[in-house]
Amino acid sequence: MSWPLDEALLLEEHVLVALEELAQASGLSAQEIIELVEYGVFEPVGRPGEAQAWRFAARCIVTGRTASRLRKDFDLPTSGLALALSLIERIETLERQVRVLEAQLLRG
Amino acid sequence: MKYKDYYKTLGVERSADADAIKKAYRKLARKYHPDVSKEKDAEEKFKEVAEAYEVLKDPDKRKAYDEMGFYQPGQDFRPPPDWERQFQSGEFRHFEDLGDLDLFDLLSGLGGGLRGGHGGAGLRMPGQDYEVTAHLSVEEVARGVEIEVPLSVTELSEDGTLRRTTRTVTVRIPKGATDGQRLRVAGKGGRGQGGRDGDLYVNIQLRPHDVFRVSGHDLYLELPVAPWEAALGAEVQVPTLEGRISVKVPAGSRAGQKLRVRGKGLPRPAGGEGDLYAVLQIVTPSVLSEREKELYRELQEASTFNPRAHFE
Repeated sequence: MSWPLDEALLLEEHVLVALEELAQASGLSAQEIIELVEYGVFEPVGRPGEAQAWRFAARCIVTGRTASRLRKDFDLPTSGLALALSLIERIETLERQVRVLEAQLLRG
Repeated sequence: MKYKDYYKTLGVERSADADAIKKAYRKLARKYHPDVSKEKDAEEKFKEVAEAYEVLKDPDKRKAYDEMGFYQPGQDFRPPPDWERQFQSGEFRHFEDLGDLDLFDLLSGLGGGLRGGHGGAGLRMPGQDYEVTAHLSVEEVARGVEIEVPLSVTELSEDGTLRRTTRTVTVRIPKGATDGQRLRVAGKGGRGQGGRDGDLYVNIQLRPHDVFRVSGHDLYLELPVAPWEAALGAEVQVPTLEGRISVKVPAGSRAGQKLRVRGKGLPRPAGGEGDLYAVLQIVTPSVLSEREKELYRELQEASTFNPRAHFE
C-alpha cells in the first residue's frame, strides 16, 4: 500500500510553530512547555504571559520530543529535565563543532 | 508468535517485586537511553528494555504474560487455550494469525484501558510516531529528493483483527536539508484509533562524498596545487555540484589556505546557498626528471627564503 507524496517539514529555526502544535508533536502538555520556557529551554517569540500567541522555532519539536521521552522514561521533574536538555544541547553543539573541524582538516 | 523473556531482558528473577523491576529498569534505561547513550545498538537495546518494563510494571499485563507460560526466547508458541478467554475481550477477541503477531502488540492491548473495547466507547488512542534515518548523498539534498520509507505497522482491520503490515510512505525531502537535520511529516505515522494519526520523523544522514566534505551548508574540498602554482599563482579548474568552474589561486599561497567560492555550497532552507571552500594542498612530484632537479637546484641557490626563520 502506498500513500500519496508528502512534503516533509524541515525542523529548523526559520519555520515557526504555535504552542498547540509543539505540544501535539512533542507529547508535552502546554503547562510543561510553559515551565520549560521559564527554565529557558525554549525561547519563543512573543510576550511573556501570552502563551497562546507564542511562536516557537520548529527545531523546538526535536528538543520537545527528547524532553517528552526523558520525562516518560526517567520520571524526571522539570528542573532535572531542563538540566539534562541543556547538557544534551551542549554535547550536540560540541559534536557539530567537531564535524566542522573534521570537514576543514586535510586528509592525510 | 515468538516468545520474549522480559525477566531476562531486565535481568530480574521471575519472582521479583515491583520495586526490584523498577530499579532494574532505571539502571538499564540510564545505560541505553538513546538520548543520552553512546553505547552501540543503544536504541535497539533500550526498546527491548522499555518493552519489558511496560509489561512487567503493569500488574494486569504481567499476570497475562506470566500465564502464557515460559518458553525459550525466540521460540514459537501459542498461549494456552484458556488464556484467550481469560484475558481477551472487547475488540481484541479475534486473533486469526498469531504467527504474525508481536507478543508486545498482543499484551499492550490488555490492562491499560483497551479492555472495555475501543473506538466507539470513547477511548481515543493516538497513532504511534515513527522515527527513521535517511542516508542521502550530497547531490540528493542539494536538489531535493523523494524517498520511500517502509513502515512496519500494527493495524486493526475492520473485522477487529490485529495485523502487522508494511506501509510505504513516499516523502519529499525539500532542498535545504543537510546532515543531522530532522524533518516531520505530520500524520504519516501509525493510524490513530479515535485519536490523531502519528507522525513520521526523518533524520538526515549524509553519505560520505568522494570529493566534498559537508559542514552545515558549506562544502569543503582539497585542492592540490604544484609548488610553482602556489608561488606564481594560477587559474585552476575545481569541481562543484553544478560542474567545473575556474578558480584563481593567488601568487604566494600557502598550504591549508582556504579559497572561498561564494554560493557554491548547499542550498539553505530559508533561501540562498552556502559556500564552497577549496583548501590548498601543496603537492610535490615524487619523481623528478633531471631537468626538474636542475631547476630546483638553481632555485635553491638563488633563493634567500628560509621557511624556518622563526626557529632561530
